[in-house]
Amino acid sequence: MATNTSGTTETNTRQLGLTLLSGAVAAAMVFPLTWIVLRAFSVEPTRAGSILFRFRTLEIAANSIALMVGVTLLSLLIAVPLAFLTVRTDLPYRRFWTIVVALPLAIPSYLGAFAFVAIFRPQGQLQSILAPLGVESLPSIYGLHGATVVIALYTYPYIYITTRAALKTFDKSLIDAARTLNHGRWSTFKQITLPQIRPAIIAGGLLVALYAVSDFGTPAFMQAEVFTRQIYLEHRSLGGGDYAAFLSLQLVALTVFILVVESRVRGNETLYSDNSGGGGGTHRIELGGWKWPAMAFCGLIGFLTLVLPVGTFFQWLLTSQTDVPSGFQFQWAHVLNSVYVALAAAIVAGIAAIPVAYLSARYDSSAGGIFERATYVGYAVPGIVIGLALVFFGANYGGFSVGGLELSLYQSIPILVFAYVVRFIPQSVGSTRTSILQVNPRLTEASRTLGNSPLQTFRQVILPLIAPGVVAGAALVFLTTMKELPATLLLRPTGFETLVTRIWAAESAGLYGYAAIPALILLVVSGLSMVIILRQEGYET
Amino acid sequence: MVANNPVDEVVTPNRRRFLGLTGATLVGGVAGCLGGDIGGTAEVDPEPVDFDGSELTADGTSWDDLPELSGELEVYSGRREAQIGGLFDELESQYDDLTISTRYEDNETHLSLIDEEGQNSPADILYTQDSGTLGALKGLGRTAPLTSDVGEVVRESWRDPEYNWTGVSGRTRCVAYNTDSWSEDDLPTDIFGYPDDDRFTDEMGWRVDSGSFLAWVRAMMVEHDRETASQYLQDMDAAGVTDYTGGSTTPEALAAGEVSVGFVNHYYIGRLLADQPDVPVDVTFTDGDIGSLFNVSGAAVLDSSDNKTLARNFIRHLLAREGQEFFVETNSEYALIEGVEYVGDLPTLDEINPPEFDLNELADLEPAVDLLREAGLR
Repeated sequence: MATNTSGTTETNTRQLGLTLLSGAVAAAMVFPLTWIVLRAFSVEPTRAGSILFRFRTLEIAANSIALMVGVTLLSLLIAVPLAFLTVRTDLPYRRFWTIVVALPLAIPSYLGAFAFVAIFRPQGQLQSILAPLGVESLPSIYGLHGATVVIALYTYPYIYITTRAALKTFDKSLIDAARTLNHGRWSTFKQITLPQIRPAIIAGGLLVALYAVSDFGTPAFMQAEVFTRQIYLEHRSLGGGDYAAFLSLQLVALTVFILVVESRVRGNETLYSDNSGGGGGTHRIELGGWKWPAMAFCGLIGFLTLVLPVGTFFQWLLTSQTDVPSGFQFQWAHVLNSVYVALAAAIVAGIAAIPVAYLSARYDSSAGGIFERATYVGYAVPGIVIGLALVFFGANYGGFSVGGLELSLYQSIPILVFAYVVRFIPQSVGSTRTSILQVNPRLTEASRTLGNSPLQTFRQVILPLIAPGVVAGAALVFLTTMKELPATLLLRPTGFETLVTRIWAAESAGLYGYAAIPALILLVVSGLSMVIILRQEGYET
Repeated sequence: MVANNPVDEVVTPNRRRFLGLTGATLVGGVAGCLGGDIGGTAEVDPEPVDFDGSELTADGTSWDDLPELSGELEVYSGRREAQIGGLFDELESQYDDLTISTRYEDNETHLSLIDEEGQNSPADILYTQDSGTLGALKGLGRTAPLTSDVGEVVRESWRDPEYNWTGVSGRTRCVAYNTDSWSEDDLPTDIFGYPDDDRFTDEMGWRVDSGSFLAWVRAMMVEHDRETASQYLQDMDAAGVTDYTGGSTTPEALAAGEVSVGFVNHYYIGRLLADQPDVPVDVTFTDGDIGSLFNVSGAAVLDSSDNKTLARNFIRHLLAREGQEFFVETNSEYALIEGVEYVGDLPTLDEINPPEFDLNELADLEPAVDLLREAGLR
């Protein structure tokens, strides 16, 4: 794959250093998960057996897999056409649609689920509109199917973003060549475009699949019995922590399985082209009469994922409540706190991802692959598990003294940011890795030939080229951190309030009016970071 | 090493001890720092301590007669900010030198937190929505005794007889119904009358993820037996009961007509009616059976607190007149002291006839967790 043919001692030293660095990051990301193992091992063997081997456990596992597969497939069906429409066709108002259909990622799926339930529940708002037509009840949206639809609608942008980037960067002269050779559009897509964008689709699909198994809010709301919902229920049952540990272990096993499968299907990944940049441009596909259904499709997705929840938030604003403690009044400090921790998490994840991504993209070593995969595991583990693990380590081993001053990491910003990084670093690793794969290794060779040191080469040649990928990855971490709730609740300093903790406090008390403003601001801030992500694609649309 | 402990005991102390041993081999010597409860049999001090200032009385002692609260207090609250934040604000404005830091989470999450934190827990007080979590905290050996005057105002079935936790406000289970579908006379006065009646098939809903529900199932197992409770849950499932999660979800589903009968804590309906007087929802109570179980929210002082006197005096404030009035007026709850009467849209406690039940029986909820698992509700 890469240029590592000479095998000089210098290359080996460099690779060793990078391997150690990358291994340290991977170890830090996996470390909190040892708590699950500690907990699971502390269960008496007979009890463990009776917990593990029962029909219910099998049922939960099957549901989780069904949810994951369903969400991933549905996301593909939404995301790939949208990416194609917004990059390769003359869709009217293309820039507008580009941003609109990326924005659902900015909405926490639990808020989306809330809006969906309010509107589409059997006797919800839609039913009351349809009631004069004799509709007494809508088919139930509760259950696995409802959860699948809602999660897919709020996570497909992972695939959309990666696919767009790939569509823009691959060598389009190949398409022209194929078209010259009288290949039809579909055949060109299948034989030329699809193989080129496949790694990107799979990378996005992996994020979607792992998100689907780690999401708690939506399955809980939609009453789908999957790992996360059960893990939460067990943690909330007195003495249920042991079963929760076993369920978490199974979830980790499922994640590792997915990661192995994904590395098998990832296939050949030489993404750089011999041409410079995106290669010769080709004409956009003219949609003609198809532009109407195409716009309708984009509009429908935008309506379902953005207009409905935002409309719901505005409805909340109109509900009035009395006797509310002063703490529920909106404060800008909540916004600042959210942005502060999200920015810190984005920067740490962005930097920590570079050695991991670089090693796995540039060197064909098994260690590199394993370290990269290892950073994905925390992403699939529910926030409450990461949270409790860090409560345990933080409270018991987080104290240290500096010059007689007693300090503790527990309930501090650093441990909170660390939790975010553990949960979300794969987004940064994935995006950075793709951008490294797109850099032609010959550039490194050229720089080295000109007498630059490896570090100089990295700083002056590679870093500028991969910067957009690093920034886009960090922005994804920022956006998901803004939405994160369970670990935030467990690990934040007492009294540290963010937008999501305020939304949670108001919503769990039924004070929806007070959840609306933080929810709307969350959307605006996250929406802005989405614009940054799309900007990193470079080239004018 | 743990085999001599019966399985149905609260499992966490065993787990902690085992963890200490496993941890020592897995992560080296670090397990030594795990706090004092490794291998502990969860013993607590059974004697109440003396109090300062005026004694609490059933008529309602005024805050003015209690010792001033000053210092910093960390409260882990399972009660929501909307329910209780106002009371903390009131106390802070009463005393200039008092700072109350509150972490809001679910009861059980707090219990897990305290367990994971060990003796390094920053919490001084655990304040919960139900008595079961407090009993479990005592079972972990993590409570410290309260002042003796608590026994003067709170009857023994609503607090720990060894003064390690106390109820501070009360609520009953009730049958809430949609008034477009039912009138009160249509509804059984016996909780077991619902699952067997075809009229209620697919019409019922309840919240299954709350501590209150768990405690209620446990109460049914104690009052009747495991078999009865198991059969009841199966029958309810067969009757198509909807399992909601989240506090106000069931009242909202009732208001929307998605279900027409809901089994909830009474104050959710009290607050729904206070916020939206026009909703077609009302409550009734089963007659003297477990369906109208009276349970308490309550509080305990942590054994690891380095501020126990302040924490004890804080709890005394909750049981004084101003504290008790807050629960009634703001939350539509019932006061625990005789001197403060219920005012609101719902019946008073005397009119309801809840069964006599010793809440200490709910200290070990694990049998209920296992039963719910068997029934497929967990």
